[in-house]
Amino acid sequence: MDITTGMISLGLGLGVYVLTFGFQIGASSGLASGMDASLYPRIIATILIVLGIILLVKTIFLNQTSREENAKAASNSNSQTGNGLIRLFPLGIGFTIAFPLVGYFVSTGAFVAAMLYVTGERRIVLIAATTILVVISFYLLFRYGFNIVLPEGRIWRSRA
Amino acid sequence: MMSVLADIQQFVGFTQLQYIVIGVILGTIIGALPGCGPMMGVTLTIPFTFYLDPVSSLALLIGIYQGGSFGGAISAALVGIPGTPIAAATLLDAYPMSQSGRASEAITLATVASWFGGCFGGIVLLVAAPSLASFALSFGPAERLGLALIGLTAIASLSAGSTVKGLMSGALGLMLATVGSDPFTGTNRFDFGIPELTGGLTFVSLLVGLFAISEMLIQLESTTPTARITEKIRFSTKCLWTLISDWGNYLRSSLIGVLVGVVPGVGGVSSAFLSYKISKDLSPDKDQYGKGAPGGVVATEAANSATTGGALLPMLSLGIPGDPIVAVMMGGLLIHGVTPGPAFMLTNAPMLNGILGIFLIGAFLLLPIGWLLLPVFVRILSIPKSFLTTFILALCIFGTYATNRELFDIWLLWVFGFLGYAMRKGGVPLSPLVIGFVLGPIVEESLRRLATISGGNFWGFLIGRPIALTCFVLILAMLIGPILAQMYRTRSNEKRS
Repeated sequence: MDITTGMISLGLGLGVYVLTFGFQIGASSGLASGMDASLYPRIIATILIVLGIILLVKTIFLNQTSREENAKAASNSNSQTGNGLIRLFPLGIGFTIAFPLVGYFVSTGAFVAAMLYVTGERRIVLIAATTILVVISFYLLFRYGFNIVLPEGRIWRSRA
Repeated sequence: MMSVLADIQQFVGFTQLQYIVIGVILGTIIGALPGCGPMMGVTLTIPFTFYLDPVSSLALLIGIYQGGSFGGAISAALVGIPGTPIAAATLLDAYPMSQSGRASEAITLATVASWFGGCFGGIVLLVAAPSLASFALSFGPAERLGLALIGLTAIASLSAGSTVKGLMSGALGLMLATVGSDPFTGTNRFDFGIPELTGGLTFVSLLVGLFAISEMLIQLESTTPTARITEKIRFSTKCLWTLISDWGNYLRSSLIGVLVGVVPGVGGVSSAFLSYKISKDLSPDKDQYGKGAPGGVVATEAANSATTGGALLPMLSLGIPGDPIVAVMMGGLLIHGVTPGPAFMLTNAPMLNGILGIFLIGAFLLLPIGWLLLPVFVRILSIPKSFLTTFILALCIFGTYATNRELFDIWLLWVFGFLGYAMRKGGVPLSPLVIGFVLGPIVEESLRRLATISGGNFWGFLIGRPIALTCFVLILAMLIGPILAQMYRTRSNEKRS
């Protein structure tokens, strides 16, 4: 895992460094000192590159793995790595796409019910009751408590 | 003193008192839930503080910080799972006490010790913050840069895992803070042509994604069952007498908590374990520690609650957050246009006194709230995990949306949720990233001003600024120290083998 982290840091640093050449730098007070908009990100990019190299050298050549790494390896054996991502992310992304399309009530209702099911709840009545409670209480809190207009859904508006 | 009281009276009205009470109650509830804790509480609350004035929002956040620091003791004592890492040391004696039928005594002791530690931290904060801020008034960009980098380096080096990974996380935070329009030249940086990114990354999306979403992902993977509490828990008033019989332990542990809290990056976990160790060494009943010694519960809880006051001290007086929770609170203040630090002290001294008063009131209220609502806090532990996860996720999504009412913020939430999850799995600490993100603009501004003032002769300029020079020497020591320690360990191991 340390090798991957080192590679990501190295790649990120290099990527950021390259991207800074694309900045459109205009004349300003910042330029008087020689510190234009790209210099500070370049300093950080260099730090990321150096840290990435240090981690790679430590892991590959000196064979040093962090204490945290060992602890994580031990704890991961008790949990199912990736399981959370697989269960939550499709639902979250689906909700984010559906939210402006079908509106608050339908998207939130479906998301809450699906989340309850995915997290292990199997009692349908309880799922339905909790979904209704969460959807209504959140609506009241945001609509009337914080005066936020939640999306009604583009689909329903275009049909009307 | 009278002027301080007048300031507190001016800024802390009935509304602010309500927010302190709500904060302490919510904080305790969230702190008691395994896997949540004060960081999660403060993170979830930040979006809602947009709708409050700065003092009220800080009242709510401080209340949550204080309640959350104590709440972890409830689950540590009753189910043997610390609600927060801060309560890990409390578990050593509180859980054995519960197992031997003294659960009420263990929780009451934790409440009283948290109350004492919090009040002690509040008093120290009230006395020390204005003096430290006055001292820091003469600081220029070199000192500000030095202090910001000290805070960041300390947290990166002292975070769990390797120093290199901590520094990587901090550098990533600094990098993410550069997204958007450059404050000096107006040049757009890393916006990839996306209009929503020209104003920079939304702090709430970053925060909630990194901490709350990634924690929920980890929770979904864990197989820890929901707790079942059968014993009736009541506040035991006789424990109040330990304030007199064990006063030395209360005072010593609180002092350790404050001192450790002031040092950036060390935090409540270290203060609790350090205080526990010292209390054990000094106790005549050493053998009882780890088997249900009341002194152990007092030492850990007084220390970790006092740490909250210590951690707020550098943020309010110097503008440098002492721990990640305080960094989040500072981010919340920055959103309101309030920049903590010496200049804030100069221009808004009455408001600063109001904030210090809020801290003290919050710490004081912990005892009556704990006393009255203890049975409620205990019942919260029985909420099934599926309901809790779903509710927190909904809160994360709509809290983030409420910040700017932009769908783009929800997309960012998932991106940072994934980043936080990947960092946790890779053993990269999250706290330095948040502190780097909060301190990023301060670091960049100070660096660029310093470059202008020094005319490019950076090191020559520093020699004339002893405080800044000391800061940079300390940073070097923090960076080189772990390498030397590692070399020493390797040599010792080689010699032994």
